[in-house]
Amino acid sequence: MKQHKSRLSRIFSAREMPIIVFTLLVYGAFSVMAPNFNTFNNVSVIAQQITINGIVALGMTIVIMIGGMDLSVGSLLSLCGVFAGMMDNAGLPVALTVLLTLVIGTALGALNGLLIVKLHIPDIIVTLATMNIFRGVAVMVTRSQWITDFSDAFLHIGSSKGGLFSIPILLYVAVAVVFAVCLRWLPFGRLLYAVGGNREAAVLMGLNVPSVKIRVYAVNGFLLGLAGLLFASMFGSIQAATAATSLQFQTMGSALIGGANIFGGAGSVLGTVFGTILLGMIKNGLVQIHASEYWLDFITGAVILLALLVNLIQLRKKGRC
Amino acid sequence: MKKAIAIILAAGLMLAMAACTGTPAPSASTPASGSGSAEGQATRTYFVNPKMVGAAYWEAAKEGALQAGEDLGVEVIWNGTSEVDVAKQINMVTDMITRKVDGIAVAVNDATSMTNVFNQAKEAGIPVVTFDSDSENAERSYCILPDTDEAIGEAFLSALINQMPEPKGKVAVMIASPSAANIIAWRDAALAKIEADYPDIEIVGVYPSNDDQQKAYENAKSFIQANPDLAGILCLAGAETPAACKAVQEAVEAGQLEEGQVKIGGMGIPSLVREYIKDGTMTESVMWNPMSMGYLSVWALDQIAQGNEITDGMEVPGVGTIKVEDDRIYCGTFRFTAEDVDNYQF
Repeated sequence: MKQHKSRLSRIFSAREMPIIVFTLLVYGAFSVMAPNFNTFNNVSVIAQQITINGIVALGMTIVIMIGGMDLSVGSLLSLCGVFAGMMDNAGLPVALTVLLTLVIGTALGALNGLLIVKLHIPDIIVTLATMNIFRGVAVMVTRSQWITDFSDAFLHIGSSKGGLFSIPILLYVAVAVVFAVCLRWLPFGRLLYAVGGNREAAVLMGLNVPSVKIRVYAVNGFLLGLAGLLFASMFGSIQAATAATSLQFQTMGSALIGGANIFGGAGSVLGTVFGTILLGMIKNGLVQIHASEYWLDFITGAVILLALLVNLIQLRKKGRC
Repeated sequence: MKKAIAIILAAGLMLAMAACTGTPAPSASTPASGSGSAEGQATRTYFVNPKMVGAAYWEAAKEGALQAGEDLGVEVIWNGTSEVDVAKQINMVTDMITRKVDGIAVAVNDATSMTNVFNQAKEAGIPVVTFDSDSENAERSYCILPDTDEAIGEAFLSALINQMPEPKGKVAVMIASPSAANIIAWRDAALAKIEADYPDIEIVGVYPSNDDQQKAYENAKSFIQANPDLAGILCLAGAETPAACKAVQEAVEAGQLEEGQVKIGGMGIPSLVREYIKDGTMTESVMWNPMSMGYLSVWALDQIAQGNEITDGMEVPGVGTIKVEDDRIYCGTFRFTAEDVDNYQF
């Protein structure tokens, strides 16, 4: 009995608990206010909508965990998306398009890491530069035209067919599960916490911090390649200049709401997933309750602030800050 | 860290050098514009500033502006920010005033924010025109627009009404930015028309995407969920229409909407709606030619520089007959269907 009780209390005191409860409360509030919010169809629409941001937010989480910051995510997504679209337009088989896009994403992500490590420039400065460079290259190679007219096979990747079992949602779930397992049980995952938590100690312990950084940014780039593919395929068209321009803030928001520490050392897959769900739900819910277009940004910001405060209360209670 | 500082210093130095070499060159054109003579040794230079560079729409406007430059024998500098940004737009125009170009054409992002900048231009003796969206209380000679906001809003609405079996039921309105003066004026005109002439149409909401393709699509998916009995979507910006078409197609495939239940009408950029107008997701759309607006911007600046008057009904080569009302120049809208969509390359 005692054993049972302690396990239960451990679940309720989990780091992610406040954000999960908060998300459920917001879900409940929207369900009361909008008759069509709490329906199976709408849940699958929300799930479909959060896949791109969700995948990118997971990459952002490990970057933040090692004390990094990536402002270039939207630009790299745009670049990968237009490359994928152009390869498809050129008649490449879809499997090859997917493979090459993932390779490009991984390579450019690793480039971010390399520049940070080799030039000893802070992450935020390097990615501020590459944010403009990646976007600029994407605009240049497309000569600013919309990339569209994709093959059916390419469009199939991002298709919403299958409801909750559509390809984008399955991909997102797969990435989240792999991340959760790696961070919790694999040595590489534990390394991230060590590097982000106390870099000096990590160096003294003989950990190869630069190599960890480059690998984290490479993984992040891989996910952006995947997200870029999904973006082009899901919307059936992509424009280099406007695609995902505020993605860095949205995904940072998901990670931080989910309990990631902006100074590194903390971050949780489950938390980030719920952070993403919360933000996606707010977007959908505000449309459903017919909120005035002039209030959307304000309400979104207020709910994010509330979510962060909820996290803080939990940390305070534990005396961690 | 030392390396970082070195790199930043080097970059700063290069910028400074670029700025230094940049200043003397344009000053050569000052006497020409100062004396107002057309046969000065330097050709006249006009700066054309779109809301952003990149979008197909602005690329078409660029083509028109450059074509006008070629036809009129003047130099056209086309430059803009890579995304919609009010502060950067102000800086860019200010830089060009400093550079003393002979005229400036701006597609204004925010109606009120340009007032000071345009005053500076006036003090410097540089004529200013606006195109695509106006800043009507600021010091500008002309504004080049497709048509009156009222006429445009009603034309967009008519594209939707024409497709609906009868003008009744729930209609959602999609806009880009709630702070763009032209889009708000179209919205108001369309909503006023609905209130006056179509009492059976119920507006379920106005949904802004802030020029974000992903958000436009998500909005459409969400309001379709909220209104399973939706009858129409009125799209008042270029990226909204394909987003609405895609969302409706998917809802039909998923069995949430009847095929043909939701009609989509409004602004259609031909290259973006081509597939949807061909597969019948919608049957007609309204647009104007951004090339004409780009062309007219440079043409109007050049008329002002030469002291020529611009009057109603003038024939402009490559554009056609223009309508002039007070200080507004209109190039006109057109309606297109599956039959002639391929005639438009923007």
